[in-house]
This record gives sequence, C-alpha cells and structure tokens, in this order.
Amino acid sequence: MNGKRLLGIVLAITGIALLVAAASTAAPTAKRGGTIVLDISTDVDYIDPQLSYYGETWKLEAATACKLMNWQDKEGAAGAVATPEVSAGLPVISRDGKTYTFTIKPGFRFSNGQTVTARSFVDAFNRFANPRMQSTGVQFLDIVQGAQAVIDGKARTISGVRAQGNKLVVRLTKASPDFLARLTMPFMQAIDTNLARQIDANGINQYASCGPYYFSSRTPGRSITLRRNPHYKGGRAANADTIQVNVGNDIAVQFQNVEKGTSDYASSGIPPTEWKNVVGKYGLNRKDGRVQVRPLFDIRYVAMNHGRPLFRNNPGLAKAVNWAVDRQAFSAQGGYLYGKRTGQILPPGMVGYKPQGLYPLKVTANTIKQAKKLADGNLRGGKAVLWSSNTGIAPLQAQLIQYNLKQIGLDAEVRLLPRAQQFTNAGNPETATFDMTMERWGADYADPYDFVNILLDGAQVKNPQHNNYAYFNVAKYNRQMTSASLLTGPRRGAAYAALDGALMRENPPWAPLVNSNDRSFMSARVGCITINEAHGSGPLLNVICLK
Amino acid sequence: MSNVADSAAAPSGGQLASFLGGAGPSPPADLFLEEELAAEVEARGYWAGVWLRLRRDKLALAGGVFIVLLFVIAFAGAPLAAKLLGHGPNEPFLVSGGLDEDQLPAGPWTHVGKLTEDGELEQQLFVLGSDSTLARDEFLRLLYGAQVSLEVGIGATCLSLFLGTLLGALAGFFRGWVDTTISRMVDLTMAFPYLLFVITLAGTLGTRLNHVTLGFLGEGVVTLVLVFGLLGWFYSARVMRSVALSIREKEFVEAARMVGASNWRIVRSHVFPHLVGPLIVLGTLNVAAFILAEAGLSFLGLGIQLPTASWGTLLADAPQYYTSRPLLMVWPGVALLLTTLAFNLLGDGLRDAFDPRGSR
Amino acid sequence: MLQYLLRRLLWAGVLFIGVTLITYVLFFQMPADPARLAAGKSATAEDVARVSHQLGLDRPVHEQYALFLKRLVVDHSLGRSYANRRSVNEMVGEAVPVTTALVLGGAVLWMLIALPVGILSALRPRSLLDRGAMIFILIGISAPVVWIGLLLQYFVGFRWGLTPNAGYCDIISPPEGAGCGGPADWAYHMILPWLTFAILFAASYARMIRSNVMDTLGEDYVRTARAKGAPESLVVRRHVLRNALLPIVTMLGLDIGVALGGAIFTEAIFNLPGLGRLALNSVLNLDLPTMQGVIVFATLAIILLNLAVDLVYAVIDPRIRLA
Repeated sequence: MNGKRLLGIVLAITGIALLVAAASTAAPTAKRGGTIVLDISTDVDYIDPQLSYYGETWKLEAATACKLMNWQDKEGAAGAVATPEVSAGLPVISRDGKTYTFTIKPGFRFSNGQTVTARSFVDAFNRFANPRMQSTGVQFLDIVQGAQAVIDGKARTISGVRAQGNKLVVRLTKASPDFLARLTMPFMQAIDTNLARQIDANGINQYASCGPYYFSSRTPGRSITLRRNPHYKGGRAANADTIQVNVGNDIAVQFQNVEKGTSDYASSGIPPTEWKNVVGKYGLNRKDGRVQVRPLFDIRYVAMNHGRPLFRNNPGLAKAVNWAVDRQAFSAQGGYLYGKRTGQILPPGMVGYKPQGLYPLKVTANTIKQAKKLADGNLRGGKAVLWSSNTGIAPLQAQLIQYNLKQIGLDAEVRLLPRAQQFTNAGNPETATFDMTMERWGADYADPYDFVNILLDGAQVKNPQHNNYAYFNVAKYNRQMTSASLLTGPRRGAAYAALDGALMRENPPWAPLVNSNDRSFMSARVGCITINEAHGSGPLLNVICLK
Repeated sequence: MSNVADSAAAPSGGQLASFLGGAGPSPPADLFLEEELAAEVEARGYWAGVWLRLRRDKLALAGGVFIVLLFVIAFAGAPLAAKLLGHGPNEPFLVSGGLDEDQLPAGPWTHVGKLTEDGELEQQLFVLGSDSTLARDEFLRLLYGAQVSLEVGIGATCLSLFLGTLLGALAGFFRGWVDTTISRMVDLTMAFPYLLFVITLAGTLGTRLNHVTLGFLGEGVVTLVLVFGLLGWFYSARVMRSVALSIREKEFVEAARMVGASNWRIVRSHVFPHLVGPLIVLGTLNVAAFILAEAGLSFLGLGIQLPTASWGTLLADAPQYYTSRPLLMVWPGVALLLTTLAFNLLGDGLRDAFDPRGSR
Repeated sequence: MLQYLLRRLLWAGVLFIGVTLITYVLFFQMPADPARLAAGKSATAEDVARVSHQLGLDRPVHEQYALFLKRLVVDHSLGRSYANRRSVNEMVGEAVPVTTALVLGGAVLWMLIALPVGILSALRPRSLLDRGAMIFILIGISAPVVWIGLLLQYFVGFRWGLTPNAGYCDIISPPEGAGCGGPADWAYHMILPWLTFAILFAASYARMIRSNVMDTLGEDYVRTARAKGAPESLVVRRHVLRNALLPIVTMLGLDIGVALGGAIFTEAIFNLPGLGRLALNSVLNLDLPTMQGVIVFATLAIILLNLAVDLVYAVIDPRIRLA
C-alpha cells in the first residue's frame, strides 16, 4: 500500500459507519501491560511526523500523535467523525470561514515531560512547510495563508499560523469545509521543541510525542519500538506497555508467526489462500475474534493511458478491455473476502453510487465474444505495456490481465516495478511509458469528488505528480466534473451518478475491478480489538491488549 | 559459478571449482595429458577407451539417459502434452475447477473445464493440479520450465566455454603479452563479487534485454545467458591455458613448427584436439551450475520473466501455499535436483572416463 | 619477502581500481536515467537536469569515476541511498555483522561436517561410510539452496516448531525493545540459516578433502613412511593430513571472502538483514549508490582475504617467495 492512496483508507470515511455492523468498543476487561508484537513486510519510509506518508506509519502514529482534531478510538459512525482532541471543543470559526481559533486543552504532555502548547502546533506547521524537510505532503497546506511562501523559501514561518497564549489561530486563504479533517493527518500533530529544531530531510528516528505512546527506537529495516508515554493524561487507551514492530518477514512467515503466537498481528496480511481457512477456524468478525473484515472505500482498477497512441480516442478498445477482464479471477487472487467486484468508478456506499451494470462481473463465452467484437479493428498494432507492482499477488493479477488481453488480441508486456516507483513514474508525464497500469485508490474522504475529480480531471495531467493515471483529459467531462463538484445535496449525488455512468458507458478511462476489504488476522492472546478505518487498517494499537 | 547457490563466484567451493581445483593437488587438466598424448597415435582407440570406461559407470550412464530424456520431454514432450491436454502452460482455469471450493489451487489429477467458443465447458485434465491461485497447469509449467532451464544452461555454457577456450588457448599458446593480458583479466574477474554482479546485471541489463527472445527463447533467457556467459568464462580459460601451456612444450609441436606449420595450423590440429576432453567435462558440470543459477535468480524475481514458466519462479510461488499445498514446493525442487544430479553424475563419469588415472 | 609483499599489495590496489571502475561504468551508465532515480518523486524535467548536474552526470565518465574514488578514499563515503536518503556507509555497516555471523558460523559448520566425512571416507574407500558420504556429496552439490532453505523452514521451523522460521537477533547490544537478543537467541535464530548455507559447501569440501587425502595416500613419501614401519595413525596425521589439508585452508579463505559479499539466497529466505538482502532490495529499487556500496565492500573483502591467503602461504611455503 502506498502513502498517497492510503490517505483514503486513513482519512475520514464517514460513510463507512453505515456499512459496518457496529461492534462494541474497548472491552471492559482490558488488561494493561505486556508487549504486543506486529509484523510488517516492508519497512516504512520515515517515522518522522512531517515526512512519513505510508499507511503503515500512520497506523503507528495513530498511537503516538496528539492532534488538534482526531478520530475517536471507536468503531462505526462514532469513529468516523473528526472530534476535538487537544483542542478544547470545536474551534471558533470566523464568519467568512477563513479564520479558525483553537483553545489548547491543558494536561497534554510529551513523553519527555514537555507540555503541549499552541506553540507545539505552530512548530509542526512550520517544520512541515520548511523546504529543507522536502516533505511530499505539503500539498495539504495549500489552503493555509502564508504556507506557500515558506515552501518556496521566501519566508521562514507561516504567517497564517500563530500562537497567542493558549490559543492557536489559523488563517486560511479560502473557506474550506475539509480543514478540520486535514488536521487529523499526522503531519499536523504537536511536536516538542527539540524536534522543531531538527530540520533534516532524512527524517528523525527518535522523538518525543504527546499521544498515548511514543517511538522509543527505530532500526531501519529491522524494527520499530513504541512505549507508553509516561506523561500521557489524554484519556485515550494505552493498554500494552510496549508495541514492537518487526520488519521484513514475508506474509507466509507472518502468518506462521501469528498462528504460533510469536507475533500478534500480521500487519501486511497473510497468504491469500489462508483467509478462507482462518475464517473457518476462528469465525468472522466475532467480538475480539481473530479475524476481522471491514469494507473500505477503495477501488482497484486498470488505468488505460489515454495520452499514448493505443488508447487515445479509442473508446472501442477501452470498452473491449472492460468486457475482457476477468474480475472474478482477479478477485480470487486475493483470496476469501478480498472485496466486491465492480465495473464502475464509484464504490458502494459513496454519495452518487448507483449500480451501473455496464460490464460483466463474471466471464462467459458471450462476454469474451462481445469483448472480441469491440476490440476488432481497434487494436492498433496489438501491442501494449502493462505496469504492475512487483510484490504480493500483484504479479499474479498482472499475468491474469495479460492473459485476458491476449484473448482479445492485445499482446501486453508486463513490467513489474517496486510499488513506489510504479505510481511515481505513472503519475509523472515524463516517465509514464505505459499503456495500462494496475492501480489502487482509497478515498481520502467520503465524497465522489475524491474519486472522480481527483482521479480523472484532465486539468492535472501535465503536473509532475498527479493521480490521473489514465491521462484522461476530455473537455466535456472536465466541465461536467467541475459543475458536479459545486452541487450539494441530492443533486450532487445524481450528477456524479450520471457522470459515473456516462464515463464508463461512452469512454471508459479505466477497467474497474474490485472494491477491496480491510482484513485483519490476530493471535489468540490479544483482545480489546477496535478497528477504525479512519485511523488506518487493522486494530487500533493503543487499544489492543493482551488477554 | 559452482556456488551460485550462495556465493556464486567462489574461486573454489562448489562442484566446478573442486573439479578444476585451483589449489587442489591434482589439476586434472594436466593429469590426462600424458594419457592423451600416448593415445594421439591412435585417436580412435582413445575415444573407444573413453567410451568403454564411461559405459562401465552405471551412474554416469543413468545421468546421461536422464538428460537425453529431459531434452526430449522439454522440447518435444511439452508441446505434445499441451496439445493432448488441450491447453497451454499460461492459461488460467480460475472459474472452472482450477481452484477448489476453498479457493485453493486444485490438487493433482483434477479435471477442469475450458470455456469453448460456443459456451460449453470442455473437460480437461490437470495432471499435477494448479500451479497457484492463477490456476495454470502445474504439470505443463514444469515441462515448459525444463525448456527454460536447458536453454539457459546450454546457452550460457556454450558462451562461457567459447570465450574461455578462445582466450585460455590463446594465452597458453602465444604466451607473452597476450598471456599477461588475459591472465590479468582472469584475475580481475575472479576478484569480482560474482553473485552480486549477477543480480545487479540481471536487474539493470534485464530491463532492456528481457524481451529479446529471438523468436523461440523464453523471456529473460537471453539476459541470463549473457550475464552467466560473460561472467563465467574464466574457469574454462584457466583450464584451457594450462592445457595449452603444457602442449606447447611437447615435441610434436616443436616438430610441426620446424616443418614450418603456421601458428593457426598448430593451434587447430595439435592444440584443440587436446582440449576436447576437458571441455566436455567442464561443459557438463557447467550446465548443472547454470541451471541452479537460473532457478536461484528466477526465485529472486530477477530471472525469467512472467508469464514464462521456470522452475525458479514455480519454487518462488510455492511458499504461499505452504500449509495447504506443500506438494507445490516439491515438484520444482525435485525436478531441479534430478536435473543437476544427472549433469553432475555425467560430468563426474566423463572426467573419470577421460582421466582413468584420477583417484576417484 | 618484502618485495613479494609489495607486489601483492600493489596488485590488490590494481584489482580494486579495476573492479570499482567496471562497476561504476556499468551501473551509472547503463540504467535509463540515474538522475531521474535520484531526483525522486514528483521531479520535473528541470529537477532532473539539476540533479544530473549535482551528481556530475553531465561530465565525462572518467571525471565522474575520479570524483567517486575521491569521495571513497578521501571522505570514506559511499554516498546516500536514492531510496531512503540514508547514508550507504551506515546501511552497509549495519548489514556486515549479520552476513559475517552467517558466513563464519556457516564455515565452522561446513568444516565440522566436511572434515570427518572427507577424511574417513578417503581412508575407507568403498566402505558403507564412503558410499553414504558420496550420496550426501552428490545431493548436497546438486540440490538448489533455496529449496533446501524452504524445506528446512517448512519442516523444522513450521511443522515441528523446533526453531524460528526467520528473523535475526543481535548477539550483543540488541536494539531497545527488540523481541530477542544475546548469544542464545542469536544462535537459535541462526541454526537454519547456517544449515542452509553450509550444506553446499560441506558437500563440496568433503569431496575435495576426500580426493586430496586419497591423492596424498598414493604419494611416494607416504609409501616410504609406511614401508619404514611407522604406525598408520602417525602416517595419516603427520604426512597425509598435513599435506592434504593445506590447500583446503587456502580455499576456505577465498570462499569466505566471496561469501562475505552476501549470502543472498539464505538471507532472502530467512529474512536476515545482511548484505545480500541489502543488495537485493537495492537492485529491485534501482538504488544505485547502495548497490555500488555493497559491491565495493564485497570486493574489498575478497581482495583482503586473497591477500591474507597469499601471505599465509608465503610464510608456510618458502618456495613461493622465490617465484
């Protein structure tokens, strides 16, 4: 999973509440103490709060950070609303919606004993924007007044973020309803004065934090250790004494470790074929059960590059691909409860979702015939380059798509790339030398804007880092996307539903495949399992306890 | 090459090196010279003797027979089996029996259905079951994997032997600056962290060369042949040099020179014949080492490209199905073991046959 | 002696330059665009040009290499990783003890197997033991290491639960909070990797020792000693083993040198954070400085061990000094 897309899983997913049968939260019998052990297969990029941008790190930072606004440690609807944490109540918002005044709640302290003040947040904003940090997340500061000047190296501090006693005042360039949600990102957590002074683009691997836990050590490529913050009085749970993260075991070994009880949570998942087996053995979504599955607002799809000759103005072939891909087989690679097959852009539960029923979710002789008919005459030489990640089941899925394409006469050459390289190269017009790339997107927040406009608006295709991997740039749809984004209420939903249908029917930018689930497998010795997708996939680490 | 297993470059260590025995007490290359020279007069008798000795070595013969069978199976049997079974090695059978009800790869001897044009499901047989959750025919993939193994093994051996023989013989025969240059090149190559070089080359060069197939090779074969061949020539160069060196001093070469034979003629008619024995032995053992190397690199994801089947990639996929389909780990492993065993047995037998005075 | 030493040292220097030059040219000239890799995410064409200039990639190759050598020799710096901006020195430094532990432990293990097997089977040719040894040797030499590793991991680690499946523990000063540490844990985690790594070498060394011992047994001086009526055990000890095992020592030095460059397969299977895995990850990420760093270290290890072997030999065998 990569950082950017991960945001989707990580950020507010208000709608998810409706999908999950609310399980009860924090068990009353929570036992404190002991060490919880996690396995992750690839190391995180950084644990530095202003640099880290991987889902895995954000999951850890959910236990270490204290933020102005945060998600509660609860499942379901209650967990999906950004609520004040260090902010004493909701901020006072000026009439024009551009000035936010937060009052800092007393009592929050860093793990080194320092007190959390308004200054701690000002420091975080400034360190985040500091060009010498080279943080990739600074795009989220675009609405903060004066941030751009710091990013460009024209100012040392952000003029729009000020501390006045125990008050923090933030001025925005425009009214932004999602500002409070952005504050839940770990980038904007409070940092102590030591960290504020350490400007290092290589990231800091040990620092004091103000959440229930702090990072007590990190050996890159080997392990990360979290310990309970001795000065924490913020009211969130902190059940285990230590949370130990072991890096590098592949999923087969992770599975064996969790089965044997030498590890408590296979954070990178288990071999796909084992899900059916463990669900059979331990049941599904039982209270504190070992196997927990939650739906995500996410989509896996094949983006077809409309900027290259093969798919440029070639809707016939794009439709043929949508008829040809075997979504059932694709999903089977992920194993039991991998997700729900789909043939459209918006995921179920999202505003504007309407089952479109345009493409087959199951291959039959007829669908193959239809695919061949559509491809006929549109193959343009019949050669394509297909990019895929080189880890996990992605190579298998790529070979499947390759086979499906071959059935309609398209000879695809599969190039396997490290995940990070795949999406950075795919999102940069200079390096996007693919005809098709297998992508995944997780919603940043539950709004169709984040799927349709962010992923398909043609205005961005020239940027060096964008998310429109289909290089889809059609004036008509660009206009429709913009006007849909300005609507509110039921009209918004209707407009996006119409857009979803029109795009996929007339000129499919993608072959959508599956809306996937978050699946967690835990050891027999842990309890107090609470999952809040807004915080990251899997059980909340500060809440989980030893039985 | 020998230790491609783990430290491929080993100047000694594995089968190749121990055969060549850099520091060993009896470099075989020198050993059978006397014998050969004696047999020079009666070339036919010499070959007959080799054959006679080889025939007595039952293990070596078994290895030889296995290798012949493997060739037949790989290049004739695989397409034939695909034809008989009705499907190819890269065809997934996901929705029609290739996965069992637990979504696991189907076990051995399963019938799967192939979707025909008119929408019927035609029953076809998976002899060894499915290879992975992609539900391809494990049996066919094993057979086609043999093709890749042999292509890489033979191709890389030919290339490295060609280079090694040429350079080694030149060095040994001409001496002087030619020898110095070539010997220094050998030293330099031997100081290379071989395996590291192989993986980096496969990782960088591979992205450009993997799709060269010359119309009949698997994707990635050309890369591996080049990488192994270009980095593996120095063993044979060393052997050839020492053989050529000793031949050079023999009287018949002097004699030929005195009657005015050209250098080239001397090399062709007096030096090369003596190289044949060690070449065959070295080549046979080399093939085994290169086959292991191919499997190792493919296991790491740096060798043969998807979807082409290779024993290495089959092995790499297997741990996923540890608990439920342990047999998937067995097939490619056994295939590799038997193949390298056969080449090693034949190589050992050939060495003994060429070198009856050897102590083994 | 001094002259010999100087000559070897000089040659070692030439070797080092040769190998690093070739590596440098191959790795920094061949991949499509090292500057783009270095420029990282969201790089525009201008960014790439700027980075290219910073790295000196717009200069002639020989200048680039000179710069690289200068950084290496003067600043002792291997540069920074493209992948995570960490110092390559640091990463190599962390990986070296792991690989060393694997290789040295493995070497002890393979010698413990190869010595008795090789010697005994040579002394009793065609005995039951000899035949058993031959089978072990053949299989050990022919079996793919990855397969052996996977089988050991599956049976010993998972099915029987006798050892850990994978992972590494530090022998001294484990990082804070590490789940394990200390000599006992370290050895416990290394059992399977040592076995996996040692089997091939054990087989080929057993074979080498067997053939060396057998050859020596046939030498004239051994026959003479026997004819003189020396007790068999003395003959074996004084004449046979000493002469037969000397070359083995050399070879051991060379093999260890090469293996220090990373026992890639063993490290990959058992998740050992050694040089091999570092190299593999950097290849997969096209992280050129790290790749180059591992190769430089490995080359040094090979050259130094070669040199050590040369010197040991010069001391043991006076003939060499004259050569």
